[in-house]
Amino acid sequence: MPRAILNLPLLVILMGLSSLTMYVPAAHAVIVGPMWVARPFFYGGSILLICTAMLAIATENYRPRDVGTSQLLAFVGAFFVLPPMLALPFHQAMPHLSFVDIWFDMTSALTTTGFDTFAGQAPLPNSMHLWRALVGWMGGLLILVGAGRILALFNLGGAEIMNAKSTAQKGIQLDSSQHLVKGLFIIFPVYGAATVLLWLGLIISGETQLTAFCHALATISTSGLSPVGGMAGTNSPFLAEMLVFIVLALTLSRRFYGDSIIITEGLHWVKDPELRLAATVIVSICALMFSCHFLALSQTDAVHGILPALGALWGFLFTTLSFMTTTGFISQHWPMAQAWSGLDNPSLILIALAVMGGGVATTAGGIKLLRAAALFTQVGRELDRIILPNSVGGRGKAARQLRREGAQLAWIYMMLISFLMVFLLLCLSLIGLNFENSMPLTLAAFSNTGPLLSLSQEAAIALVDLSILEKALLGLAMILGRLEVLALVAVLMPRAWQA
Amino acid sequence: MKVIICGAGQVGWQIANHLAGERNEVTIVDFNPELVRRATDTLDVRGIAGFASYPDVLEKAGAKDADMIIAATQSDEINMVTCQVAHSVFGVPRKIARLRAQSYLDAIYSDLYRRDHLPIDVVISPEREVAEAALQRLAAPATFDTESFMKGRVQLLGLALDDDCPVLNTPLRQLNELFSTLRAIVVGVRRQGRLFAPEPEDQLFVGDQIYVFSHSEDMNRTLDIFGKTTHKQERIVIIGGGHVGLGVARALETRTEKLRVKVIEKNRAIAENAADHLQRTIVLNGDGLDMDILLEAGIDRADAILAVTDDDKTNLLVAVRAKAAGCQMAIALVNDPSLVSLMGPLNIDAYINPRATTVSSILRHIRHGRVRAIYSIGNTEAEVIEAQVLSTSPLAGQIIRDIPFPEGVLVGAVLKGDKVLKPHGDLRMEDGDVILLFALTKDVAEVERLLQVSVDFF
Repeated sequence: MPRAILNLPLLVILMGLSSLTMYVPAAHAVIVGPMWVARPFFYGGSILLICTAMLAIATENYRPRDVGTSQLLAFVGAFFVLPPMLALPFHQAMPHLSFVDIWFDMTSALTTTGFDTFAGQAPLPNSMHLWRALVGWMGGLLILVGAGRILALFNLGGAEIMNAKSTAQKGIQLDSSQHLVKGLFIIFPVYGAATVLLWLGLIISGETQLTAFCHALATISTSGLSPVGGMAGTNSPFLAEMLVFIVLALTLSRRFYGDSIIITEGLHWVKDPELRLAATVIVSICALMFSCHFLALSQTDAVHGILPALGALWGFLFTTLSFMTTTGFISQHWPMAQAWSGLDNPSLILIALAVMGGGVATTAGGIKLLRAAALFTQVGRELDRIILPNSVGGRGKAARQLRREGAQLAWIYMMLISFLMVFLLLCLSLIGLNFENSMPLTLAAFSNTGPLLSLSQEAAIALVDLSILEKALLGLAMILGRLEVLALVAVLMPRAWQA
Repeated sequence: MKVIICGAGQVGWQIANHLAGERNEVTIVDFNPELVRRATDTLDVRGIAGFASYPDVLEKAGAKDADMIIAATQSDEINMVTCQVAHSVFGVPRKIARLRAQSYLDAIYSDLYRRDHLPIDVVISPEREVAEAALQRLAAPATFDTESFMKGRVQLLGLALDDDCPVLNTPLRQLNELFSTLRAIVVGVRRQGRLFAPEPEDQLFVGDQIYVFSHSEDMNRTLDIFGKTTHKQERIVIIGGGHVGLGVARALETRTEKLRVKVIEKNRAIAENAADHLQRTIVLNGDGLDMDILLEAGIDRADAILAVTDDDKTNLLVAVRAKAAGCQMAIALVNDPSLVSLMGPLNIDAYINPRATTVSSILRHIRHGRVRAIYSIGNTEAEVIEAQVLSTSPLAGQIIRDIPFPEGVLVGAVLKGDKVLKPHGDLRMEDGDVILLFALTKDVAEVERLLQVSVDFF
């Protein structure tokens, strides 16, 4: 029986899994109420499961000529097909919300972007918060497995920087989703264990059950979806932030999910270019912002003292890491930190961090640390070459590849994504959104950091007030950012259709 | 002694040449019949064409009653297997293998090469030997030849005397009285191309090349007395990033003082490999003969240039070019001993002969007696032998004046316990002392007889 399931098209398997997940909020709502939330999730899940079963029977004997390509198509397609499906019970439970809004919210959850779509609206029932966080968590898992087991096969999703080969299939013959299950078995123990431990830790720290569980899900999947509006709504801020911080550090690199995802040439983790860059950037930014205080001493309203200093330091540390992993949790000490630094708008630095993003093949979005590291090392080499034009760079084959072909591919990606960002910005402006709003929206969507919006000083953008076209464009941007554009390009190439 | 040498390449050839010259029964094995034929034609050796690791080939070469096998083929793996076969099938008592790969050399420290593992008694790495020689030349910039003995406590210095030398035209006996606290002794003089051991009444003249044994602590003073100034070397340019160049650069990186080392390598892949293994050293990719590259490496301000490519002519030309551009000192690696005479006219300060270094380290394991180190001087004109005095040897219990050393032999230093003593006629040799001897090649056999013991060694 499992064999028969694994032989089904990947998209059908994913649809089945999504339908099954709907029983979780249903069960939650049955226990804690209200029942009107439980019913649509139970019925929706059941009906969708039946539909999926019919699809499964229909496609049982379907054998694609190239399983790898078909899985790539399914992985890309999942971000288009699953959100409407996931939105269905949501919409049934809350019929007063528009389906487009719910689709947008589900897309943002599945891509681990985590826009707070319904901010300023009537509060959602608890089971709904659970559902959103759960979708984000499933999305994170999907991305981890997909990036390591599907995109890497096609030299996409960061693998191209390491291998420095053209985007082409390596010719591995696959006959089922077996390798995905293997990848899942490697990733899930860490992913699941981190979730459960964080959940328990947060409960011990004094959170309510739901907040603890949702925050645990949102942290490990870097979606940043919170039922209480982020860290500010928690009961024991510092302990909770400490625990979240530790798990966030785990989401920085694919290495922590086991070494079999994208081979790294046996490099010791201390020498991993991504982790080094992440540490350097976080430490230097924290140090810089912290020392800004001493430049701004003359300001009358500046804060002084040891305790505020420590609080500010923690605020910087937590928030920079949170935005680098594109989670977007803001420390409770952030306002203190802001006051300490005396800077008018340090949030801009956080936006830059989110655009740079976390590690490749992780749940983080953005341009990715590996690409940034490739470009940085390339810059360093070029400076060396100005002094000694014939010098040869060292540090091994992997580092050389990173500097040369890796940097070139990273540059291409950066140009592509920048161009798309500008394009989206133009489109949004054309439709009628003003620049102040469309800029953070664009950056948040492409870097998959929804909570970025809450950073802006002006009145928060009400997402439900956006037009359907704007939401559609932003949804597409989230998916493009999630798939790192290149995956979509690879799917749209004629060669993929031949297979 | 019956010796089988596998591989008639440069190292194998030179060892065969040396051993055959000492009336050993040498058989050379190589898979290239042409090389074997040339070896048998030129040298007094037997030759077998075939794969050295094949038991039947080794049997034909006489492995059954061979005393020693030296595996010096191109491939490390063949050398290892040859030693294994020689051990397991023929029970050859002594096995020497040349291994080049760094990884195999590192394995020495674990016990890979034990009798019941991989039975190799001595592992020789020519590149490593040459790199060590190059480092010694760099350490003593004013010398044209150096080597350390007695675990670094005694230094052999080769000095070329010029007009600045303040002790010219003075009998050596008088010098000895003048600097009575100096623990140094002149053991060899090369005058007009002829090397001889000086008598106490001999004087030193301009243009002489002398060999001096000096206590390591007195090295700078010795150099001072012979008119050589020592200055710090901070900027070093190495031409050639192969095994030798890389070895030297790596050793220089481990030094505590701040050195600026640049390596120039022509081959891109080799240059990249060198860059990968070096941290602070800058590797340049380009032709070492190209003036632009040399200037990029800062040759005009460099303290020393070390030309260690595999081509003798390139090394010489680069050294000359660097000197002309303003480099203080030039050291060249020279494989062909006949080129050594060009060093003077070309104004190259020192040379390294890989053959001499490799041959000395192999010779060390061929001598009978408790020989601890051997160093071959010049074009095998003389040898420096560091040996332990055994109770059964004719040396033990005698004072130096009474030991019947041949004319071309001088005692350079004596190690008693932990103390290095300057030899004088009344010093008594005792069991356990270590003696350092300078011997012209024609007298080596006699020295061996003096050091040899009948029962103790076997």
